[in-house]
Amino acid sequence: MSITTENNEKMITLMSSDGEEFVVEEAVAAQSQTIKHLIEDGCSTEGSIPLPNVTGRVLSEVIQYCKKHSSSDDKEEKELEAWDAEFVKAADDHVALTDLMMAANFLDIKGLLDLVAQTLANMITGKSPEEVRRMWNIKNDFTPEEAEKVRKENQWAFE
Amino acid sequence: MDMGGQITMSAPGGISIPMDVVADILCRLTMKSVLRFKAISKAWCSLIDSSYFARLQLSASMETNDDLMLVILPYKDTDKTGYVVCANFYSLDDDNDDVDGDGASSLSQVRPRSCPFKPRKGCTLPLGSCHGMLVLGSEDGNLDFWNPTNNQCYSTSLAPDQTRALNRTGSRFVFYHDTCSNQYKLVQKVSNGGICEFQTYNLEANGFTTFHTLPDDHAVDYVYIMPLEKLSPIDIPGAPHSFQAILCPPSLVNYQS
Repeated sequence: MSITTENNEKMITLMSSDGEEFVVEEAVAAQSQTIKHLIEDGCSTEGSIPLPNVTGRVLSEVIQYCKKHSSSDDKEEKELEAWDAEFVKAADDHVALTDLMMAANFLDIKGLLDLVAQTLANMITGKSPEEVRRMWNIKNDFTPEEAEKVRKENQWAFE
Repeated sequence: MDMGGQITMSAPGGISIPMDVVADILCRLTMKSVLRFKAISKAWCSLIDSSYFARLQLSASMETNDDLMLVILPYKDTDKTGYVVCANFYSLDDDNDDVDGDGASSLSQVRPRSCPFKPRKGCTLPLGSCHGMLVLGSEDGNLDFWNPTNNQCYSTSLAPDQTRALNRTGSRFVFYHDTCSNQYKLVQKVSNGGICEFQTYNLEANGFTTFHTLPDDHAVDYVYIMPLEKLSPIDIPGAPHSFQAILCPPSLVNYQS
């Protein structure tokens, strides 16, 4: 759906996987390279852009980020950094951050991807393999012999 | 390499994480954490071992420049049989996963490194380094290409007639990544009876082959190899004239001008 606001800003509608609709300025949505390409290819004129991989909860967070970053070109970098820090803090835990990162990955928003990936990296650095497995429910599929071999080859990393 | 965004590895009911997302997180970690996480699962292990991940990590560390390692070689050591060997290395690197640190290291962080190859007889010298890889040459004709970060190593013994350069003064080496062929190359300059030869190491032939010869009256002391892709004039803002970078392409054809 292509509508315009009073100040002539083109609006587009994004639809989440659970059917929630978000009407945003095109400039905000176009921070996502994926959406930008969809708009360029004329996919937005027929109606809303469906985003089958992103839930409404995650999409609202993504839009919050894109709004902030499209409106703050002239603002101080420091202020934006502080805002980013608060933003990932509000996401609270690694589950929400993982959702956010997968959305940023799918929507191709480099700034958000870097921000969330760095936050998750800081979260797991120094953790043991077992702790990381628990975070993402990863199954340890090594046999005891294989596990021992990997450990031995990289002994110093476990010290 | 397509890591397949839809491949997930979670237990049912939990949050899953696609491997391309994992790669994006891991490339921001120190090598110590990355190597430890090889023990998580087979999928993580093969991701970390992949050339895709190596490239990702290389470009990430080139952007930040915070993953530099200082490798220190002792002047000489002597083994039980009296040979002078050089097989102990010490590295000064920031391995304590200091996330918000300023990158400062202290001498207490200097620690011995075990290397994957046997002690070499005779003097061992670092011939060069590139992308975290170190090339060592020893008088007994061994070449060791060693990555101290993950401790992987490729060692080779040169044929007897190829070992001259390694114990001759006046030999100079360059180890670099040739972006045109996407290969790592070891180039040496050998002074030999008034002739100055430039040779590249060839893995298949396990020896050096000459690609250029010069009379030795140029007193070439060091060899520099510059990637050809950088062949463009450099403009310095404010400078009266832009100047051309002086380049030394692999063929060295323009050297004698």
